[in-house]
Amino acid sequence: MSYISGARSVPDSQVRIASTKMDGIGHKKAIQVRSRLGISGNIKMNELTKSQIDQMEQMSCQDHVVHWELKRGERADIERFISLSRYRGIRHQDGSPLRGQRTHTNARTCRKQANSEMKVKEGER
Amino acid sequence: MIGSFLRSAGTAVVSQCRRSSLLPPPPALLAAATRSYAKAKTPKTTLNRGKIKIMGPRKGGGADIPGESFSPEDASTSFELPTDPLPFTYDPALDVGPGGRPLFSVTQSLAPLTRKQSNTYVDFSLEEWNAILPEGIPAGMTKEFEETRRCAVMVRQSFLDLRDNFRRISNPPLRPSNKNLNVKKQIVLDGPVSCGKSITLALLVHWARSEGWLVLYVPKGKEWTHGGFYYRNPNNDFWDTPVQAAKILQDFLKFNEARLQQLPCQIFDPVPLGEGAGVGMMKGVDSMEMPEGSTLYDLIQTGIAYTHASVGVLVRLRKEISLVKDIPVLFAVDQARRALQLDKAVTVRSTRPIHAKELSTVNAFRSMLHDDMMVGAFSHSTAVGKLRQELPDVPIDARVMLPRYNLDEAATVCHYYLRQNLIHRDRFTEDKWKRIYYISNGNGSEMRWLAPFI
Repeated sequence: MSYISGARSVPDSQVRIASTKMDGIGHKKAIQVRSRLGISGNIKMNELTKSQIDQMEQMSCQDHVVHWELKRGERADIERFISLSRYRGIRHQDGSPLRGQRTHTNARTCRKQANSEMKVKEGER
Repeated sequence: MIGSFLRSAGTAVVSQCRRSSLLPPPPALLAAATRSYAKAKTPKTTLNRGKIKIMGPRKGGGADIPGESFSPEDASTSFELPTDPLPFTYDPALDVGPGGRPLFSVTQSLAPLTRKQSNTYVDFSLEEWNAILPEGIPAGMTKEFEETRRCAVMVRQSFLDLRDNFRRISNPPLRPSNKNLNVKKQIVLDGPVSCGKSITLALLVHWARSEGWLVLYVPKGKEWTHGGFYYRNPNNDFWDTPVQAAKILQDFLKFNEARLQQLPCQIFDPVPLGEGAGVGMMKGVDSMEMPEGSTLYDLIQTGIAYTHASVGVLVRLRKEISLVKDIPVLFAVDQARRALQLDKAVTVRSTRPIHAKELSTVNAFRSMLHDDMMVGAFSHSTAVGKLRQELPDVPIDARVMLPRYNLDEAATVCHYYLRQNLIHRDRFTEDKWKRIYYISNGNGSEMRWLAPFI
């Protein structure tokens, strides 16, 4: 088992699929990174050399927002909404849906995620 | 004289494979060991070779007959291959084609076959096929062997014409004739789907190798443009594929190793180095010199050992093979003119597909405007659409359209399927096999699929 930018990759998986496990890299960006490195679609992770894996990490981090930078950016945006007391910020705080969904019924997923985040924070304390 | 020497060397390789594939028979049977099916009338002690444990035939035709059950023992009994000596269960009386003609031609190689033996089957063992075609057997041929449970291939008139064409080139007759004027050194095999292009090419390679020719056979041209790593060559505008190049060199070495050790290199320029597979460029070195007195075998081994040199060696090999005049040389590429599936990065976020002619390996073997003998077979299964009318770097008259089965060939094929129990003997009539032929329009694979439904 190896890690690329914090994402676990199975040795037998193809590069075009394993590279999408990175946060911030989807199918399209995976193709762009592969084509710049000259890796075709059917190459597997265990066929890559260490230098190629390093190049892939470097290229992903340089030209795309990935992993912890992406998460940091998302968190910063949420905190900005909260600090400005925007409607979306309040909804984030309440753990309610914020894209116009109904709350009279349903909205379970959003509330479940908010509860789990609260439990994690309490656990950290 | 040289031709007879080459032929003897080639058949020696083939017969060695045959000898190595057969267990030594008991001394009492040595005198009688012959592949003459007509003589096998008395039961003899048999070896276990040739028995195949297989599943039963497809159930397309068997379901309607009441009281008929199939068992694995019946299958293994019915499908014993003929060996030397023949197993006692093998009935040569069933080897009958349409009109009572023999269904099989007993021959050691494809060279002595004539027009009289067209539309008959030649039967080689799988070991012999793998020995003569170590690069791989075409997919259509493998499917035919699996479905019919026998490694036999029909010799068609189109193959004999192709063989005679190259035979006239390598061995021109003393008296000029009209046939000599129409010889073609470069041929592109085209034709409808499942008309036998790949099998014809494989048979041609079989014949050429048994004649002692130096043949570069590529059974899957799509592997040249598929997979592996690809890098821009800094010295030219081409893309290098070191993994594919190394594989091509290894495949070329499989059958031709002994011959290549006798052929010296004739170009003494240093071999340019490129980027290795996953290891980048070699520092401080951009070319590699071959020592004096190197043979083509040494050149190929260098390309295999050093991934930086594999593409340069392959391109150099193409030129070296053109300069070989001692023996006839043939390039046989199946799935030629295949579409490419590699992308080149134009900017950080956009790509464009790379054309096949931009690859160093493909570019070296793509052009047919030369004096070497080359045959390319177009493949419908790996390409999109039909072959263009005007092909770049191909002579105008190089295209040869292979037809599908005609009525005589279809009759032979159906009798062969009958022999191999793909068709039930009780329900085989002329009307039914003709119906299959007309429904499938002579498509070989469709006929094979429809045969059990008689």
